[in-house]
Amino acid sequence: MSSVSVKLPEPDDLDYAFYKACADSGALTIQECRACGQRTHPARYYCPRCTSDQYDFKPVSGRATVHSYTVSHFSVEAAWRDRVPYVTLVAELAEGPRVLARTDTIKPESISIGMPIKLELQTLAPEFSFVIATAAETES
Amino acid sequence: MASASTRKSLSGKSAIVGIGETGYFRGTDLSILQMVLSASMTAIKDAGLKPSDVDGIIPPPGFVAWDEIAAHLGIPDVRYTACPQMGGASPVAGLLNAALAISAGLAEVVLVPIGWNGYSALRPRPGARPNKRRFSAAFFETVKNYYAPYGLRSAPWWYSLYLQRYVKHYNVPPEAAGAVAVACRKHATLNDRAVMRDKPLTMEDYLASPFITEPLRKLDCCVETDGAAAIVVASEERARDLAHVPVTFLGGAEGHPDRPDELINRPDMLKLGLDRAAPKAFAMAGVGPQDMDFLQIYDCFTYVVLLELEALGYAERGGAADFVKNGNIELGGAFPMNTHGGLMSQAHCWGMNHIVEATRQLRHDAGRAQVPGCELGLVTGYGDLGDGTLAILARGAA
Repeated sequence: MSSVSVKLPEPDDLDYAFYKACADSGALTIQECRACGQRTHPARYYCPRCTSDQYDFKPVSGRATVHSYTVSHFSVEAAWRDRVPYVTLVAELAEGPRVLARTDTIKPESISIGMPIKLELQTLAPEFSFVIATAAETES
Repeated sequence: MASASTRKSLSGKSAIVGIGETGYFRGTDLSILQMVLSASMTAIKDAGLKPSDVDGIIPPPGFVAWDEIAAHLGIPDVRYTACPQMGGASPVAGLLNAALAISAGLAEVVLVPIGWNGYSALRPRPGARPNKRRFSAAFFETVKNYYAPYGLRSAPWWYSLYLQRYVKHYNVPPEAAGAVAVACRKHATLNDRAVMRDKPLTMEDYLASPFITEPLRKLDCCVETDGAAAIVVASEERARDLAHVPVTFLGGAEGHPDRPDELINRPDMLKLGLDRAAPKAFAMAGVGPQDMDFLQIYDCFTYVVLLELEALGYAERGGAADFVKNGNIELGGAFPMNTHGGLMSQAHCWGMNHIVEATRQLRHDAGRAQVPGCELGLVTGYGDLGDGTLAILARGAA
Protein backbone atom coordinates (compact mmCIF):
# COMPACT_ATOMS: atom_id res chain seq x y z
CA MET A 1 0.00 0.00 0.00
CA SER A 2 1.09 3.56 -0.55
CA SER A 3 2.97 5.31 2.21
CA VAL A 4 1.63 8.66 1.09
CA SER A 5 -1.53 8.75 3.11
CA VAL A 6 -0.79 6.38 6.01
CA LYS A 7 -0.44 8.36 9.22
CA LEU A 8 3.21 7.76 10.08
CA PRO A 9 4.42 7.86 13.69
CA GLU A 10 6.14 11.00 14.99
CA PRO A 11 7.99 9.41 17.88
CA ASP A 12 10.11 11.00 20.61
CA ASP A 13 12.19 9.45 23.36
CA LEU A 14 11.94 5.67 23.71
CA ASP A 15 9.32 5.44 20.99
CA TYR A 16 11.90 6.90 18.61
CA ALA A 17 14.51 4.45 19.91
CA PHE A 18 12.15 1.54 19.21
CA TYR A 19 11.46 2.56 15.62
CA LYS A 20 15.12 3.32 14.98
CA ALA A 21 16.15 -0.08 16.34
CA CYS A 22 13.62 -1.77 14.06
CA ALA A 23 14.83 0.21 11.05
CA ASP A 24 18.51 -0.46 11.80
CA SER A 25 18.07 -4.21 12.32
CA GLY A 26 15.37 -4.78 9.72
CA ALA A 27 13.53 -6.92 12.28
CA LEU A 28 10.93 -6.40 14.97
CA THR A 29 13.03 -5.43 17.97
CA ILE A 30 11.67 -5.16 21.49
CA GLN A 31 13.24 -3.66 24.60
CA GLU A 32 15.00 -6.23 26.80
CA CYS A 33 16.08 -5.53 30.37
CA ARG A 34 19.80 -6.17 30.88
CA ALA A 35 19.24 -7.09 34.50
CA CYS A 36 16.34 -9.52 34.39
CA GLY A 37 15.66 -10.15 30.70
CA GLN A 38 12.08 -8.84 30.83
CA ARG A 39 10.76 -7.77 27.43
CA THR A 40 8.67 -4.59 27.46
CA HIS A 41 6.62 -2.80 24.83
CA PRO A 42 6.17 0.08 24.43
CA ALA A 43 9.63 0.61 25.90
CA ARG A 44 9.91 2.06 29.41
CA TYR A 45 12.75 3.87 31.15
CA TYR A 46 12.47 1.55 34.15
CA CYS A 47 11.88 -2.16 33.86
CA PRO A 48 8.33 -2.86 35.13
CA ARG A 49 9.58 -6.10 36.66
CA CYS A 50 12.87 -5.17 38.38
CA THR A 51 13.17 -1.34 38.02
CA SER A 52 16.52 -1.52 36.23
CA ASP A 53 17.22 1.35 33.83
CA GLN A 54 19.63 -0.69 31.68
CA TYR A 55 18.23 -2.14 28.48
CA ASP A 56 18.86 -3.05 24.85
CA PHE A 57 16.57 -3.41 21.86
CA LYS A 58 16.80 -6.97 20.55
CA PRO A 59 15.02 -8.79 17.72
CA VAL A 60 12.25 -11.21 18.63
CA SER A 61 11.39 -14.57 17.08
CA GLY A 62 8.24 -13.44 15.31
CA ARG A 63 6.26 -16.26 16.87
CA ALA A 64 3.00 -14.99 18.34
CA THR A 65 -0.65 -15.73 19.04
CA VAL A 66 -3.78 -13.65 18.47
CA HIS A 67 -4.77 -12.02 21.76
CA SER A 68 -7.52 -9.88 20.24
CA TYR A 69 -8.39 -8.22 16.95
CA THR A 70 -10.77 -5.95 15.15
CA VAL A 71 -12.16 -5.96 11.65
CA SER A 72 -12.70 -2.42 10.42
CA HIS A 73 -15.49 -1.87 7.92
CA PHE A 74 -15.30 1.90 7.76
CA SER A 75 -12.60 4.54 7.68
CA VAL A 76 -12.44 8.25 7.05
CA GLU A 77 -8.83 7.89 5.88
CA ALA A 78 -7.98 7.60 2.23
CA ALA A 79 -5.24 5.08 3.00
CA TRP A 80 -7.71 2.66 4.55
CA ARG A 81 -11.04 3.45 2.93
CA ASP A 82 -10.32 1.31 -0.09
CA ARG A 83 -9.05 -1.59 2.01
CA VAL A 84 -12.14 -2.28 4.11
CA PRO A 85 -12.72 -4.66 5.66
CA TYR A 86 -9.20 -4.59 7.09
CA VAL A 87 -7.94 -6.67 10.01
CA THR A 88 -5.84 -5.39 12.89
CA LEU A 89 -4.50 -7.98 15.31
CA VAL A 90 -3.28 -7.67 18.89
CA ALA A 91 -0.42 -10.14 18.61
CA GLU A 92 1.08 -11.60 21.77
CA LEU A 93 4.73 -12.37 21.13
CA ALA A 94 6.28 -15.61 22.35
CA GLU A 95 8.60 -13.29 24.30
CA GLY A 96 5.62 -11.79 26.17
CA PRO A 97 4.78 -8.29 24.95
CA ARG A 98 1.90 -7.53 22.61
CA VAL A 99 2.14 -5.50 19.41
CA LEU A 100 -0.32 -4.48 16.74
CA ALA A 101 -0.09 -6.24 13.41
CA ARG A 102 -2.00 -6.07 10.17
CA THR A 103 -2.53 -8.87 7.71
CA ASP A 104 -3.24 -9.32 4.02
CA THR A 105 -3.61 -13.09 4.19
CA ILE A 106 -5.64 -14.01 7.27
CA LYS A 107 -9.34 -13.74 6.51
CA PRO A 108 -11.62 -12.27 9.19
CA GLU A 109 -13.76 -15.40 9.42
CA SER A 110 -10.72 -17.59 10.08
CA ILE A 111 -9.45 -15.63 13.09
CA SER A 112 -9.79 -17.02 16.57
CA ILE A 113 -8.40 -15.85 19.90
CA GLY A 114 -5.22 -17.80 20.63
CA MET A 115 -4.46 -18.83 17.04
CA PRO A 116 -0.73 -19.01 16.25
CA ILE A 117 0.68 -16.43 13.83
CA LYS A 118 4.03 -15.40 12.43
CA LEU A 119 5.14 -11.76 12.39
CA GLU A 120 7.46 -10.00 9.98
CA LEU A 121 8.20 -6.40 9.12
CA GLN A 122 7.15 -4.72 5.88
CA THR A 123 8.95 -1.46 5.25
CA LEU A 124 6.62 1.41 4.39
CA ALA A 125 8.93 4.37 4.96
CA PRO A 126 12.52 4.75 6.14
CA GLU A 127 11.36 5.29 9.69
CA PHE A 128 8.34 2.99 9.78
CA SER A 129 7.59 -0.63 8.99
CA PHE A 130 4.29 -2.42 9.45
CA VAL A 131 4.22 -5.59 11.49
CA ILE A 132 2.59 -8.10 9.16
CA ALA A 133 0.95 -11.30 10.40
CA THR A 134 0.53 -14.57 8.53
CA ALA A 135 -0.99 -17.78 9.80
CA ALA A 136 1.69 -19.91 11.46
CA GLU A 137 2.53 -23.38 10.18
CA THR A 138 0.31 -25.85 11.97
CA GLU A 139 2.04 -27.17 15.04
CA SER A 140 1.05 -30.51 16.49
CA MET B 1 -11.54 -0.40 51.41
CA ALA B 2 -11.64 3.25 52.38
CA SER B 3 -10.12 3.89 55.76
CA ALA B 4 -12.38 5.14 58.52
CA SER B 5 -10.67 8.51 58.39
CA THR B 6 -11.27 8.87 54.64
CA ARG B 7 -14.94 8.12 55.08
CA LYS B 8 -15.26 10.51 57.97
CA SER B 9 -13.48 13.32 56.18
CA LEU B 10 -15.09 13.13 52.72
CA SER B 11 -18.49 11.47 52.88
CA GLY B 12 -21.42 13.79 53.40
CA LYS B 13 -19.32 16.94 53.66
CA SER B 14 -20.31 18.55 50.38
CA ALA B 15 -23.20 18.68 47.94
CA ILE B 16 -24.04 19.60 44.38
CA VAL B 17 -25.99 22.84 44.70
CA GLY B 18 -26.06 24.16 41.14
CA ILE B 19 -26.33 22.72 37.63
CA GLY B 20 -26.12 24.32 34.21
CA GLU B 21 -26.19 23.23 30.60
CA THR B 22 -26.11 25.00 27.29
CA GLY B 23 -28.32 23.49 24.68
CA TYR B 24 -26.72 20.55 22.91
CA PHE B 25 -26.17 21.17 19.22
CA ARG B 26 -24.94 19.57 16.04
CA GLY B 27 -23.32 22.69 14.73
CA THR B 28 -22.78 26.01 16.49
CA ASP B 29 -20.80 29.18 16.02
CA LEU B 30 -20.25 29.56 19.75
CA SER B 31 -16.67 29.09 20.93
CA ILE B 32 -15.89 26.46 23.52
CA LEU B 33 -15.03 29.22 26.00
CA GLN B 34 -18.40 30.91 25.43
CA MET B 35 -20.27 27.65 26.01
CA VAL B 36 -18.28 26.77 29.14
CA LEU B 37 -18.86 30.25 30.58
CA SER B 38 -22.57 30.10 29.76
CA ALA B 39 -23.07 26.73 31.47
CA SER B 40 -21.00 27.92 34.43
CA MET B 41 -23.04 31.09 34.90
CA THR B 42 -26.26 29.07 34.65
CA ALA B 43 -25.01 26.66 37.34
CA ILE B 44 -23.93 29.49 39.67
CA LYS B 45 -27.31 31.23 39.33
CA ASP B 46 -29.16 27.92 39.67
CA ALA B 47 -27.54 27.55 43.09
CA GLY B 48 -28.69 31.02 44.08
CA LEU B 49 -25.08 32.21 44.16
CA LYS B 50 -22.98 34.89 42.46
CA PRO B 51 -19.62 34.40 40.73
CA SER B 52 -17.94 36.12 43.67
CA ASP B 53 -19.14 33.29 45.93
CA VAL B 54 -17.06 30.78 43.98
CA ASP B 55 -13.60 30.14 45.41
CA GLY B 56 -12.55 26.99 43.58
CA ILE B 57 -12.42 26.09 39.87
CA ILE B 58 -11.80 22.66 38.38
CA PRO B 59 -11.53 23.27 34.62
CA PRO B 60 -11.96 20.72 31.81
CA PRO B 61 -8.99 18.52 30.84
CA GLY B 62 -8.59 20.51 27.64
CA PHE B 63 -9.67 23.53 25.59
CA VAL B 64 -10.36 25.98 28.45
CA ALA B 65 -8.28 26.92 31.49
CA TRP B 66 -9.21 27.95 35.03
CA ASP B 67 -7.66 31.42 34.87
CA GLU B 68 -9.73 32.62 31.92
CA ILE B 69 -12.87 31.17 33.51
CA ALA B 70 -12.12 33.21 36.65
CA ALA B 71 -11.40 36.34 34.66
CA HIS B 72 -14.44 36.16 32.35
CA LEU B 73 -16.93 35.29 35.07
CA GLY B 74 -15.49 37.78 37.52
CA ILE B 75 -14.45 35.34 40.24
CA PRO B 76 -12.10 37.58 42.23
CA ASP B 77 -10.53 35.25 44.78
CA VAL B 78 -9.73 31.71 43.59
CA ARG B 79 -8.34 29.64 46.45
CA TYR B 80 -8.22 26.22 44.81
CA THR B 81 -7.72 24.77 41.33
CA ALA B 82 -6.89 21.30 40.05
CA CYS B 83 -7.32 19.69 36.66
CA PRO B 84 -7.89 15.94 36.35
CA GLN B 85 -6.51 14.74 33.00
CA MET B 86 -8.58 11.69 32.22
CA GLY B 87 -10.94 12.48 29.37
CA GLY B 88 -14.49 11.37 30.08
CA ALA B 89 -13.60 10.34 33.63
CA SER B 90 -12.73 13.96 34.38
CA PRO B 91 -16.15 15.39 35.35
CA VAL B 92 -16.68 12.82 38.13
CA ALA B 93 -13.02 13.26 39.08
CA GLY B 94 -13.73 16.98 39.26
CA LEU B 95 -16.66 16.35 41.59
CA LEU B 96 -14.45 14.11 43.72
CA ASN B 97 -11.74 16.76 43.77
CA ALA B 98 -14.26 19.42 44.77
CA ALA B 99 -15.47 17.22 47.64
CA LEU B 100 -11.87 16.72 48.71
CA ALA B 101 -10.99 20.42 48.62
CA ILE B 102 -14.17 21.39 50.48
CA SER B 103 -13.81 18.73 53.17
CA ALA B 104 -10.21 19.83 53.71
CA GLY B 105 -11.23 23.45 54.08
CA LEU B 106 -9.35 24.63 50.99
CA ALA B 107 -12.51 25.90 49.31
CA GLU B 108 -16.18 26.34 50.06
CA VAL B 109 -17.87 26.73 46.65
CA VAL B 110 -16.26 24.94 43.69
CA LEU B 111 -17.23 25.32 40.02
CA VAL B 112 -16.69 22.26 37.78
CA PRO B 113 -17.45 22.99 34.10
CA ILE B 114 -16.73 21.14 30.85
CA GLY B 115 -17.57 21.66 27.21
CA TRP B 116 -16.40 21.26 23.66
CA ASN B 117 -17.40 21.44 20.03
CA GLY B 118 -17.36 17.69 19.47
CA TYR B 119 -19.53 18.01 16.38
CA SER B 120 -18.24 21.18 14.77
CA ALA B 121 -14.55 20.44 15.34
CA LEU B 122 -14.84 17.48 13.00
CA ARG B 123 -16.98 19.34 10.48
CA PRO B 124 -15.71 22.92 10.43
CA ARG B 125 -17.86 25.41 8.60
CA PRO B 126 -16.21 27.32 5.77
CA GLY B 127 -14.14 30.08 7.26
CA ALA B 128 -14.47 28.75 10.82
CA ARG B 129 -11.42 29.31 12.99
CA PRO B 130 -10.14 25.99 14.30
CA ASN B 131 -9.72 25.47 18.02
CA LYS B 132 -6.01 25.03 18.58
CA ARG B 133 -5.97 23.99 22.21
CA ARG B 134 -5.94 20.32 22.98
CA PHE B 135 -5.00 17.91 25.76
CA SER B 136 -1.81 16.84 27.47
CA ALA B 137 -2.51 13.19 28.35
CA ALA B 138 0.33 10.93 27.16
CA PHE B 139 -1.96 8.36 25.58
CA PHE B 140 -2.26 10.63 22.55
CA GLU B 141 1.42 9.86 21.95
CA THR B 142 0.66 6.14 22.08
CA VAL B 143 -2.13 6.60 19.57
CA LYS B 144 0.04 8.68 17.25
CA ASN B 145 3.01 6.35 17.38
CA TYR B 146 1.42 2.90 17.57
CA TYR B 147 -2.29 2.84 16.69
CA ALA B 148 -2.87 5.53 14.05
CA PRO B 149 -0.38 4.04 11.55
CA TYR B 150 -2.57 0.92 11.48
CA GLY B 151 -5.70 2.83 10.56
CA LEU B 152 -6.90 3.13 14.16
CA ARG B 153 -7.29 6.88 14.45
CA SER B 154 -10.03 7.44 17.01
CA ALA B 155 -11.84 5.91 19.95
CA PRO B 156 -14.02 3.24 18.26
CA TRP B 157 -10.95 1.72 16.64
CA TRP B 158 -8.81 1.78 19.80
CA TYR B 159 -11.49 0.38 22.08
CA SER B 160 -12.47 -2.32 19.62
CA LEU B 161 -9.09 -3.90 20.36
CA TYR B 162 -10.24 -4.90 23.82
CA LEU B 163 -13.99 -4.99 23.27
CA GLN B 164 -13.64 -7.71 20.63
CA ARG B 165 -11.76 -9.85 23.15
CA TYR B 166 -14.60 -9.25 25.61
CA VAL B 167 -17.18 -10.33 23.03
CA LYS B 168 -15.28 -13.36 21.77
CA HIS B 169 -13.99 -14.64 25.11
CA TYR B 170 -17.31 -14.33 26.94
CA ASN B 171 -19.67 -14.87 23.97
CA VAL B 172 -21.39 -11.55 24.64
CA PRO B 173 -24.43 -11.33 22.33
CA PRO B 174 -25.02 -8.15 20.30
CA GLU B 175 -28.47 -7.93 21.92
CA ALA B 176 -26.74 -7.02 25.20
CA ALA B 177 -25.15 -3.96 23.63
CA GLY B 178 -28.41 -3.33 21.80
CA ALA B 179 -30.31 -3.23 25.10
CA VAL B 180 -28.06 -0.36 26.20
CA ALA B 181 -28.60 1.55 22.96
CA VAL B 182 -32.36 1.00 23.06
CA ALA B 183 -32.69 2.03 26.74
CA CYS B 184 -30.71 5.25 26.19
CA ARG B 185 -32.79 6.14 23.14
CA LYS B 186 -36.06 5.37 24.90
CA HIS B 187 -35.08 7.76 27.69
CA ALA B 188 -33.93 10.41 25.22
CA THR B 189 -37.42 10.47 23.71
CA LEU B 190 -38.63 11.75 27.11
CA ASN B 191 -36.01 14.53 27.21
CA ASP B 192 -36.48 17.78 25.31
CA ARG B 193 -32.73 18.46 25.75
CA ALA B 194 -31.72 15.25 23.93
CA VAL B 195 -30.52 15.52 20.34
CA MET B 196 -32.12 12.14 19.49
CA ARG B 197 -35.46 12.93 21.15
CA ASP B 198 -37.44 12.47 17.93
CA LYS B 199 -35.75 9.28 16.74
CA PRO B 200 -37.07 6.12 18.41
CA LEU B 201 -34.90 3.02 18.13
CA THR B 202 -35.79 -0.67 18.20
CA MET B 203 -33.62 -3.73 18.71
CA GLU B 204 -34.24 -4.57 15.05
CA ASP B 205 -32.86 -1.16 14.05
CA TYR B 206 -29.84 -1.79 16.24
CA LEU B 207 -29.09 -5.23 14.83
CA ALA B 208 -29.34 -3.84 11.28
CA SER B 209 -26.79 -1.15 12.05
CA PRO B 210 -23.56 -1.56 10.04
CA PHE B 211 -20.25 -2.36 11.67
CA ILE B 212 -17.74 0.47 12.05
CA THR B 213 -15.03 -1.73 13.51
CA GLU B 214 -15.98 -5.03 15.13
CA PRO B 215 -17.62 -5.47 17.54
CA LEU B 216 -18.80 -1.85 17.29
CA ARG B 217 -21.73 -1.03 15.08
CA LYS B 218 -22.62 2.53 14.24
CA LEU B 219 -25.38 2.41 16.86
CA ASP B 220 -22.90 1.26 19.54
CA CYS B 221 -21.26 4.68 19.31
CA CYS B 222 -22.44 7.79 21.12
CA VAL B 223 -23.53 10.96 19.37
CA GLU B 224 -21.19 13.84 18.58
CA THR B 225 -22.42 17.21 19.78
CA ASP B 226 -21.40 20.73 20.74
CA GLY B 227 -22.23 22.04 24.18
CA ALA B 228 -21.17 22.56 27.76
CA ALA B 229 -22.36 21.69 31.24
CA ALA B 230 -21.30 22.63 34.75
CA ILE B 231 -21.96 21.90 38.39
CA VAL B 232 -21.36 23.91 41.54
CA VAL B 233 -20.34 21.98 44.64
CA ALA B 234 -20.55 23.56 48.08
CA SER B 235 -19.86 22.63 51.67
CA GLU B 236 -22.75 20.96 53.49
CA GLU B 237 -23.12 24.04 55.72
CA ARG B 238 -23.36 26.37 52.74
CA ALA B 239 -25.63 23.96 50.86
CA ARG B 240 -28.34 24.12 53.54
CA ASP B 241 -29.45 27.65 52.68
CA LEU B 242 -29.27 27.58 48.89
CA ALA B 243 -31.91 27.38 46.19
CA HIS B 244 -32.45 23.61 45.91
CA VAL B 245 -32.45 20.50 48.04
CA PRO B 246 -28.75 19.55 48.30
CA VAL B 247 -27.51 16.51 46.39
CA THR B 248 -24.97 15.16 48.82
CA PHE B 249 -21.68 13.54 47.89
CA LEU B 250 -21.64 10.25 49.79
CA GLY B 251 -18.64 8.56 48.25
CA GLY B 252 -16.36 8.46 45.27
CA ALA B 253 -13.10 7.16 43.90
CA GLU B 254 -10.93 7.15 40.81
CA GLY B 255 -9.04 4.19 39.41
CA HIS B 256 -6.84 3.46 36.44
CA PRO B 257 -5.70 0.45 34.46
CA ASP B 258 -2.23 -0.97 34.96
CA ARG B 259 -0.22 0.91 32.23
CA PRO B 260 -2.76 3.69 31.73
CA ASP B 261 -1.06 5.28 28.70
CA GLU B 262 -1.68 2.35 26.35
CA LEU B 263 -4.20 -0.43 25.85
CA ILE B 264 -2.78 -3.66 24.60
CA ASN B 265 0.00 -4.57 27.04
CA ARG B 266 -2.11 -4.56 30.16
CA PRO B 267 -1.98 -7.91 31.94
CA ASP B 268 -5.81 -7.98 31.71
CA MET B 269 -7.06 -5.78 28.86
CA LEU B 270 -10.60 -5.88 30.26
CA LYS B 271 -9.78 -4.57 33.73
CA LEU B 272 -10.90 -0.96 33.76
CA GLY B 273 -10.09 1.78 36.21
CA LEU B 274 -13.66 1.41 37.46
CA ASP B 275 -12.91 -2.14 38.66
CA ARG B 276 -10.52 -0.57 41.14
CA ALA B 277 -12.58 2.52 41.98
CA ALA B 278 -15.97 0.89 42.61
CA PRO B 279 -15.28 -1.01 45.86
CA LYS B 280 -13.58 2.04 47.36
CA ALA B 281 -16.42 4.39 46.45
CA PHE B 282 -19.13 2.09 47.82
CA ALA B 283 -17.13 1.59 51.03
CA MET B 284 -16.75 5.34 51.47
CA ALA B 285 -20.48 5.85 50.91
CA GLY B 286 -21.47 3.00 53.21
CA VAL B 287 -23.93 1.64 50.64
CA GLY B 288 -23.86 -1.05 47.98
CA PRO B 289 -24.77 -1.41 44.31
CA GLN B 290 -28.15 -2.90 45.14
CA ASP B 291 -29.11 0.26 47.06
CA MET B 292 -29.06 2.48 43.97
CA ASP B 293 -32.32 3.91 42.63
CA PHE B 294 -30.75 4.81 39.26
CA LEU B 295 -27.47 4.52 37.38
CA GLN B 296 -25.91 7.19 35.16
CA ILE B 297 -23.21 5.22 33.33
CA TYR B 298 -20.61 6.79 31.04
CA ASP B 299 -21.69 5.45 27.67
CA CYS B 300 -19.23 6.40 24.97
CA PHE B 301 -19.85 2.90 23.58
CA THR B 302 -22.47 0.32 24.53
CA TYR B 303 -20.00 -2.48 25.24
CA VAL B 304 -18.04 -0.21 27.58
CA VAL B 305 -21.27 0.20 29.57
CA LEU B 306 -21.51 -3.59 29.93
CA LEU B 307 -17.98 -3.75 31.32
CA GLU B 308 -18.72 -0.87 33.69
CA LEU B 309 -21.85 -2.61 35.01
CA GLU B 310 -19.69 -5.65 35.72
CA ALA B 311 -17.04 -3.50 37.41
CA LEU B 312 -19.75 -1.99 39.62
CA GLY B 313 -20.81 -5.44 40.76
CA TYR B 314 -24.11 -5.83 38.91
CA ALA B 315 -22.85 -8.96 37.14
CA GLU B 316 -19.84 -11.22 36.99
CA ARG B 317 -17.26 -10.53 34.28
CA GLY B 318 -18.91 -11.39 30.97
CA GLY B 319 -22.37 -11.60 32.52
CA ALA B 320 -23.87 -8.12 32.00
CA ALA B 321 -26.06 -9.42 29.17
CA ASP B 322 -28.45 -10.90 31.75
CA PHE B 323 -28.51 -7.68 33.78
CA VAL B 324 -29.51 -5.41 30.90
CA LYS B 325 -32.27 -7.58 29.41
CA ASN B 326 -36.04 -7.43 29.93
CA GLY B 327 -36.08 -3.69 30.55
CA ASN B 328 -34.08 -3.92 33.79
CA ILE B 329 -32.13 -0.75 32.89
CA GLU B 330 -35.12 1.14 31.52
CA LEU B 331 -37.42 3.46 33.46
CA GLY B 332 -39.78 1.18 35.34
CA GLY B 333 -37.07 -1.47 35.66
CA ALA B 334 -35.02 -2.24 38.76
CA PHE B 335 -32.05 -0.05 37.78
CA PRO B 336 -33.07 2.70 35.33
CA MET B 337 -29.92 3.80 33.53
CA ASN B 338 -29.05 7.01 31.71
CA THR B 339 -32.47 8.49 32.27
CA HIS B 340 -31.53 11.53 30.15
CA GLY B 341 -30.48 9.46 27.15
CA GLY B 342 -26.77 9.43 27.96
CA LEU B 343 -23.93 10.12 25.59
CA MET B 344 -25.60 7.62 23.30
CA SER B 345 -28.74 9.67 22.72
CA GLN B 346 -28.77 12.93 24.69
CA ALA B 347 -25.36 14.48 23.97
CA HIS B 348 -21.66 13.87 24.35
CA CYS B 349 -20.82 16.34 27.08
CA TRP B 350 -18.10 14.18 28.62
CA GLY B 351 -20.55 12.78 31.15
CA MET B 352 -21.07 16.08 32.92
CA ASN B 353 -24.58 15.68 31.56
CA HIS B 354 -24.76 12.47 33.62
CA ILE B 355 -23.95 14.38 36.82
CA VAL B 356 -26.49 17.05 35.88
CA GLU B 357 -29.13 14.36 35.32
CA ALA B 358 -28.32 12.60 38.60
CA THR B 359 -28.80 15.95 40.34
CA ARG B 360 -32.13 16.56 38.60
CA GLN B 361 -33.29 13.06 39.59
CA LEU B 362 -32.35 13.54 43.25
CA ARG B 363 -34.02 16.96 43.29
CA HIS B 364 -37.10 15.16 41.92
CA ASP B 365 -37.00 17.55 39.00
CA ALA B 366 -36.39 15.11 36.12
CA GLY B 367 -39.70 15.60 34.34
CA ARG B 368 -41.10 12.67 32.40
CA ALA B 369 -37.98 10.62 33.18
CA GLN B 370 -38.29 11.00 36.95
CA VAL B 371 -37.53 7.86 38.96
CA PRO B 372 -40.32 8.09 41.54
CA GLY B 373 -39.10 8.89 45.03
CA CYS B 374 -35.41 8.26 44.29
CA GLU B 375 -33.00 8.83 47.17
CA LEU B 376 -29.67 7.35 45.99
CA GLY B 377 -27.92 7.11 42.65
CA LEU B 378 -24.53 6.74 41.08
CA VAL B 379 -22.60 8.36 38.24
CA THR B 380 -19.59 6.84 36.50
CA GLY B 381 -16.92 8.35 34.31
CA TYR B 382 -14.77 6.55 31.75
CA GLY B 383 -11.98 8.28 29.96
CA ASP B 384 -9.06 8.01 27.60
CA LEU B 385 -7.82 4.40 27.65
CA GLY B 386 -9.87 3.14 30.59
CA ASP B 387 -9.61 5.67 33.42
CA GLY B 388 -12.57 5.20 35.75
CA THR B 389 -14.41 7.33 38.26
CA LEU B 390 -17.49 6.80 40.38
CA ALA B 391 -19.57 9.10 42.57
CA ILE B 392 -22.46 8.06 44.81
CA LEU B 393 -24.99 10.79 45.48
CA ALA B 394 -27.93 11.13 47.87
CA ARG B 395 -30.96 13.37 48.09
CA GLY B 396 -30.84 15.89 50.92
CA ALA B 397 -28.34 16.70 53.62
CA ALA B 398 -26.33 13.80 55.00
